[in-house]
Amino acid sequence: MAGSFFHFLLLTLYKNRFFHATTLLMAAVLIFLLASGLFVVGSLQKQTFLNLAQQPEFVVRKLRGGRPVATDEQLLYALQEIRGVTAVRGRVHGRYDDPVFEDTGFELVGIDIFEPSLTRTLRKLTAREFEKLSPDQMLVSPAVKELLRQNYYESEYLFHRYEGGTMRMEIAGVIDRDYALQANDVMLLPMEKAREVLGLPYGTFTDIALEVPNELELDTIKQTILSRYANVEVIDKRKMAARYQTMYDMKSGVFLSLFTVVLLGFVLILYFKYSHVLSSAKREIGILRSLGWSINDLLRLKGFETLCVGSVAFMGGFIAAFIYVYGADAPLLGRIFLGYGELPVDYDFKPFFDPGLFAQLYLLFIIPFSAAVIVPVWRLCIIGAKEAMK
Amino acid sequence: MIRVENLSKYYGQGRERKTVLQAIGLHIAQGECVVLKGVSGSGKSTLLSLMAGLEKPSEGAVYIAGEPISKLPDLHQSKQRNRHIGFIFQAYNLFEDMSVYENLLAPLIPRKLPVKEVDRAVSKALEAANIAHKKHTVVRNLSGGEKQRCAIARALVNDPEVILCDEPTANLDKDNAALFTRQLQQLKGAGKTLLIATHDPLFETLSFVDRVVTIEQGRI
Repeated sequence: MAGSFFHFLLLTLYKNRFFHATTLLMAAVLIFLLASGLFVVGSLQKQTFLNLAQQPEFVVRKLRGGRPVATDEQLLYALQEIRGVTAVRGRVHGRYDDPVFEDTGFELVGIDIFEPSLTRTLRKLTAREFEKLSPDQMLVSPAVKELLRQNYYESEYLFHRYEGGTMRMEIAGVIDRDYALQANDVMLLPMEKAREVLGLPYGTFTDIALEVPNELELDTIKQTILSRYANVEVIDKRKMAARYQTMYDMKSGVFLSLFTVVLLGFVLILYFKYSHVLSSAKREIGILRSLGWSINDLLRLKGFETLCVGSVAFMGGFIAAFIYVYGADAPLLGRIFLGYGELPVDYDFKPFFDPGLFAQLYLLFIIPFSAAVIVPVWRLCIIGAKEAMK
Repeated sequence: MIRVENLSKYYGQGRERKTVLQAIGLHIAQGECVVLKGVSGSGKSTLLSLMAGLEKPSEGAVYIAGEPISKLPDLHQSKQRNRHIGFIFQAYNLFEDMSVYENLLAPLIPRKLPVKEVDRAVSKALEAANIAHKKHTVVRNLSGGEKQRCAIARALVNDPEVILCDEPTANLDKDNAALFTRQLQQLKGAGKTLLIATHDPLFETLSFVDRVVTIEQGRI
């Protein structure tokens, strides 16, 4: 009769409500911490790889004495001739430091508003304002916009040219927050203006982006470039992906620290549960044994009890973490993962849910959580049945 | 109904070995009321727990309704205990936070009975123990006598043939003890086999007691 069993289960849960509530709360907090970490890492990783997918397959840059130098248009045209390469685009970008902002530099990216092969990323980045941009206007990331505003550059900013003198640029808009991860320090300005600031002669580029739609041709094309041009470096998108993977690997320091804390907390909960059951459930088990409950009956009762508490704690912690990360953008924890700096990353975490990971986490939690009760109950059933006689 | 053959119980080994019961032989017929008399530490409670299969004997065997309860695997042993034996303890051993009804539910759960039968069994036991009016009262709020009646009801709820009582009047005042003995008499009248382990001299004077067995230092 399942009805009576579950009625009794609820009664025993209620009877030990303070103990169950304490373990439930502690376990839920740990699950919340772990799940929050996983959600943050997962979301960042997902977003990073989405952005990476929009990058060109290869980036080629010229080297002189092992150092990158400006690339001319001739190389660009030559690369376009390689079979399998569908588009090439010269890119102008570079680091720009302003003594006003002591600890912060900006990434200057030049965009050619008349260039039809502007990358998908740039097109998305500039989608709202792109058409309206005039040669004296630029787009900046929300973080850069805020930093400039704090330093009284409300609507325009004064660049120092490479050749000397200054250049005034109007801040026409901000880049979408979704790109904050990769473009948090970015200033987008017309290509010629970027060249002026970075000191690149007309018609030269920082590097050249190549689009190769056929994956099977990637290695051949890379080899062709390297064999034809001695002083060039070819940066492969696959290598970049591997680098990102390492960056967001769960073994990363922050996650590992969090995981260690959670693990230690979990071991303490298990010990707490184990010792509590051994010390306080003796009499209850003794009575039930004297009433004709078999070891199986008792294991079933205690197993369900733990499963209820564990599952509620797990779901509670998991749902709270989901809301905390995706609803509230993980205050504090998100900052730990995104890093601190003069330019705080203002990022909206995009929902990421992996059912496999969920199931794995649940099993890794519920099995030891249940064992911490089942093992002492079983021990008490064997050695403590006489307890009721005392 | 109950047959105890050459039953011994030791704790520890070698020099540390402590003998609690030694070569006990006892036969209690169906419907008989036997008082097991002895001072504290004489081995009464150990004998009861061995009879109920709560402990394994070191030697010998216990038969309840023909089944060697001490030799059965746990599942069958528990089933035997559940069907054939009702326990009444000195400290009542009730779940204090649960109601009388819920306490009576506990022995019925292993039987997996339908709800109607559960209610019927509970009502019958409550009537028999004269505690039906407190059905939904939480045990914590009952008096000592009421708790004892609740314990009797719980012992009767599975309609067992054997009732084992361990110092049942130790926590009761004179009036409640007298009431308890009247209820035992009713149980005897209903054909139950009663074994009462006690050192209370009250039981020696009761007319319905068939036999008084004295246990001393683990021997009868």
